Amino acid sequence: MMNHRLTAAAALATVCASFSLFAVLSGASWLIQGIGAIVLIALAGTLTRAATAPAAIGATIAVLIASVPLMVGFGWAGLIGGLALIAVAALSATGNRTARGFAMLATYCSFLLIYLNILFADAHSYLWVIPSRASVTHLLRLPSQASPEFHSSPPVTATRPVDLVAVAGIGAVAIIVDYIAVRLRRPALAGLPLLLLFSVPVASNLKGFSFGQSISFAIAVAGYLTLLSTDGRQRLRMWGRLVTVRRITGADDGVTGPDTRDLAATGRRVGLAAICLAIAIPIALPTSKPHDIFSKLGNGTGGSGGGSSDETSPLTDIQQDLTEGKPLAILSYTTSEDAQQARQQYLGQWVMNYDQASQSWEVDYGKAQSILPPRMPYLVPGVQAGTTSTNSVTTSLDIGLQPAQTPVPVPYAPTRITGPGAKQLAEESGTLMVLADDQQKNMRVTVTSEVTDPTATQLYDDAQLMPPSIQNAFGNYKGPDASQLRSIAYKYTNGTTDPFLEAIDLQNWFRADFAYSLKPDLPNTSGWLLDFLDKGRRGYCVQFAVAFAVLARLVGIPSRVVVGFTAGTQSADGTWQVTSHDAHAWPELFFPGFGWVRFEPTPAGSAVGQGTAEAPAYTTKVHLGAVTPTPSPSSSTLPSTAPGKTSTDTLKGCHFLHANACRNPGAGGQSAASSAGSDDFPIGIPIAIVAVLLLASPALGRWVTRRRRWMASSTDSALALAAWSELHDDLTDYGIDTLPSDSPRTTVIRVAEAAHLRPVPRQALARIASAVERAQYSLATLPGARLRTDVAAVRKALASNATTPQRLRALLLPPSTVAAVVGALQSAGRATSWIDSSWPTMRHQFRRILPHRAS
Amino acid sequence: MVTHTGQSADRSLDELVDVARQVSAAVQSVIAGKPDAVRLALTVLLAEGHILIEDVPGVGKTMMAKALARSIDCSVRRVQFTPDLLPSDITGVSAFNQEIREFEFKPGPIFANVVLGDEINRASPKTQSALLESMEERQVTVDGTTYPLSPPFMVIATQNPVEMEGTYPLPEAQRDRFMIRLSIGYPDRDSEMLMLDSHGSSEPLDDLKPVAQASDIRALVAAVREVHVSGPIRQYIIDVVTATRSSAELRLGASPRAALHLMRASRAYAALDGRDFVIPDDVQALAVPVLAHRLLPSTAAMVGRELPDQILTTIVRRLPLPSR
Repeated sequence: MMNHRLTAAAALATVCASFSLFAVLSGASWLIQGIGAIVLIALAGTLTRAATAPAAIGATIAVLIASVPLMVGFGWAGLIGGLALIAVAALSATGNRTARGFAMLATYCSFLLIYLNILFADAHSYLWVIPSRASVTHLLRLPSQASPEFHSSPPVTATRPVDLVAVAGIGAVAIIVDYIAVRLRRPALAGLPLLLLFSVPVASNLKGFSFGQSISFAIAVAGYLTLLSTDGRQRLRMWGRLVTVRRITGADDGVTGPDTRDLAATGRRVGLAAICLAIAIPIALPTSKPHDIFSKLGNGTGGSGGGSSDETSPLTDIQQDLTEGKPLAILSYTTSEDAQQARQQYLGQWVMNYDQASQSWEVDYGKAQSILPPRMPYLVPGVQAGTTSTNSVTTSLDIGLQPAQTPVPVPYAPTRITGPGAKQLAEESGTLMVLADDQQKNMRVTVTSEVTDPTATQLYDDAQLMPPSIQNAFGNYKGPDASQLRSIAYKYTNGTTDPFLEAIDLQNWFRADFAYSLKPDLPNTSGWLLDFLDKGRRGYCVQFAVAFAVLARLVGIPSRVVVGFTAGTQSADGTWQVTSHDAHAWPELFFPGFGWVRFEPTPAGSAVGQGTAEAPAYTTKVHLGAVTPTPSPSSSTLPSTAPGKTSTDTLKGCHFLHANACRNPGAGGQSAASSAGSDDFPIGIPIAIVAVLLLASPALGRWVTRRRRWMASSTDSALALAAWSELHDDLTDYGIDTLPSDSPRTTVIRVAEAAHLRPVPRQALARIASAVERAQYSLATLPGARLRTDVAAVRKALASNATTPQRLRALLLPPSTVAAVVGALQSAGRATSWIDSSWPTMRHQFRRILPHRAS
Repeated sequence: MVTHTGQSADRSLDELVDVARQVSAAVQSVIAGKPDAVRLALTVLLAEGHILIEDVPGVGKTMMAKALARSIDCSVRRVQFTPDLLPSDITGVSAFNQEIREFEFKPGPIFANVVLGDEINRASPKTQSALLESMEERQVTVDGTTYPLSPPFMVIATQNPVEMEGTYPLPEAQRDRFMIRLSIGYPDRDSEMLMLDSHGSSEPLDDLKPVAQASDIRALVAAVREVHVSGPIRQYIIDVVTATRSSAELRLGASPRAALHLMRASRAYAALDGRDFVIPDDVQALAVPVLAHRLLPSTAAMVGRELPDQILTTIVRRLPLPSR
């Protein structure tokens, strides 16, 4: 059963499906090698489908080569086993079914093994081709080396082990597809293994369905459809058309053939319906978030966490980390600080600055072209080491797997980094960091950082001048909706001129009036920020951090967004464990003398917000030096709390003096409850509403149609026509058939007989018929005032003569409405019939362009 | 209440219905039990067409033609078509008058209001065509002189469907000139019994008194022309005719003349019903009588023994009505 066309189509389908792996694997080496595997499997499949003798010879040789490691490396037992395999393969020459089945499977597997061996273990093989025990061991060991890569978020760097896993997977799928599609002749079923290949990226924690993936999915589908189409053509060639169709004559190209227009139209309609459903259902489902294919790519938010983003950015990774079912261990550390202080010490990894050009928050380290070995102790700009407000803290980090070109999370502000892992130090934007070129495993780093511990008073009293470089680099925001955002910022920092108090105001506003949700439901447009602040007020750390940073800039405080981890959780032995669930983003504002000072606008605590986040002490407690907190805001030393101000001012006093109380269990609790409530929103209610609406829609449609029909008719003629349409709908609803060729008079006779109408409704029916007859065919019309009553009388008579199921159907599921919908769908299907008319022309044109084949 | 466009049209319609009823009653007193055939005959008379009655011998073809002619008090001539009949036997000849020493035209039997052409398919094609030419043009040209025929002018031709020796079947082009082909058919049992009673003792045709004048008929014909044919009806007529042309079961469809005949006949049919407008029922009722004799079934339909009448009935039943 030689079937090269189908074999090629199956191979093509597998290649197309393999494109979907681009979403999880970087580079293209795996694809090229995968295509090689697919081609080889197709060859193997062709060999298995050859005549008995060649197939047996091919299988025997393949098994002989593939079983060499078994025969030479495992003593007598291995030798006997190998010889047995070869013998069974050779036995297939006799035509024995079992032996042939084994030979077929063995041929596929041997080809794949030999191919993998050549690609990945040639150095350990005999003559670079024939597998040896060492080469097979090497092949078996390689995938385990790939496991760390697979634990990192996609796309995975395509190292050799990763390539091996990918190529082996593609090869295995190619075997199954070839077997099902070509050998079993069930190409439709071959979609399942292809789907398996496609499900890899879907199952790999990808957040959204990006444009690239849509394309790869389309390619995969195209490949699959090609396979189906090839099979269809093959069957036609073998058996002829199964469906009896009319023959058309006089086609454009003069060829007389079966009329496939109806079949083609059916295909188009099915396709159209499938596309419509695929678009409509995800939009209709309240929980899903369809990819906005029409949104402008690279919009204002970029990766700054509007809703979903196409690009991979530290900000977008956070949501994935936080929603992962099982927390993934990132690192562990010990610190010289006490637990109370350590809990507030976040580990910063990425520093994001607002990029005016792209109007998005970008990683600042991305610009670190020159990696200089900095001098230590490193002087962090703005931080005066050794002053009363800083503590030298030593943190020993133990990182399981540190990806390449990714900074090591360190506590701010690092002045000295040592240890076996601290080989490639860099500085950028005034930050000392470890930024290795290659991936590091089990990295150990000891960081000495000057942890600033400012008091509110210090921050408030701070009167030092802002360095112009910081102001220029981190002080501007010229993004979308700047004016509205500025007015929001001023509104919630009203009456305050002090940067620190403004920041406190903002932080308290966020923590009081906003709810924490990992599904913020924000538009994926540049205007998401305004939406978040103005309407939604639900989000997670990314939205809070970005919003806080933007508002801070708009009131004149330089700000940046840091992505990293919270302090994590302290285990019994005193080490701190940081997992993927501790991923976090937070804003930092620059205060001269203290450097970058962290704020925490995100609601904290596992119940209401980010589990291990904690607001800095200087923003929640009163650290006014020696000043004891007093209950009266006006008596405090804070100048901004002038008496007689609005409630915002009262709140402001509260911020400082009853900060903990003012975390507002009432409001906060409420918003938290609403947040929790909205997260657990009973989906049953909308589904029930939708279901009821769907069920009621035919009856509703009938009612609307009837009402609109009568409302739109004013003249006698229009009333007669409306009555006629209405009567026909009633007849359809009660299951009384009329022919399209029935004239009004014929209809009267037919209906009166079918529905056993009594004289009164029969006269009403005759009146309607006369009216419509006059309206349609005569110059004179009959008065239409009574027609509505007549139609109602006929309907009543129809209902009284109908059975109960008929009456119920007419009431709840009127067939006339259903017929109208079906009619609309049919006309929509007919809208695509232009393809029919133009296709022969297009084909004719195409043939004219092509050079004529020499006869 | 009907809003009428004109009182005069109304009056003529009422008159028409009245006259038609009287004529119909008169004819039916001779031909019992065939009201439909009589109505069709009247329709053709008012629509200025010609009838081809195709039926077996002895069912009253000639009787009906005579009764119709007599009841409207107009001239009626009968031509028995034979193979040796010449065109001049129908149209008339110019004979030399010895007294006035000039050729004088002697009008043939065609110069009448109702011409009964019996067994028309027995005449030679040449003679047939002489008749058919005068049917279409309503004039006769002999020796270069044209003589108009006075209205009303109607030819009632009969032919036997049973193939007999010495017959020349009417070609399609000639059949197309007849507005309606109808079959009278055998009477039912009661009608036949009645016929035996009435025709047994005396000839009822002799007792038939004219109920209308030829001038009345001319007025009625004018009234029929005023009957309104709406756009949808015209569309419907075109649809029916087009359907016969595109039907796979028909080799030859209906001609544009057929469409014209169908519309005229529908007008007369509606007028006989007392309506000043045509409804689809008129067209549907007339589709078979007006169109069937013009159609030629395809080979497949002939093999399947499908007659044009049946094919046409199916077409009419399937064709949706155009709506306004």
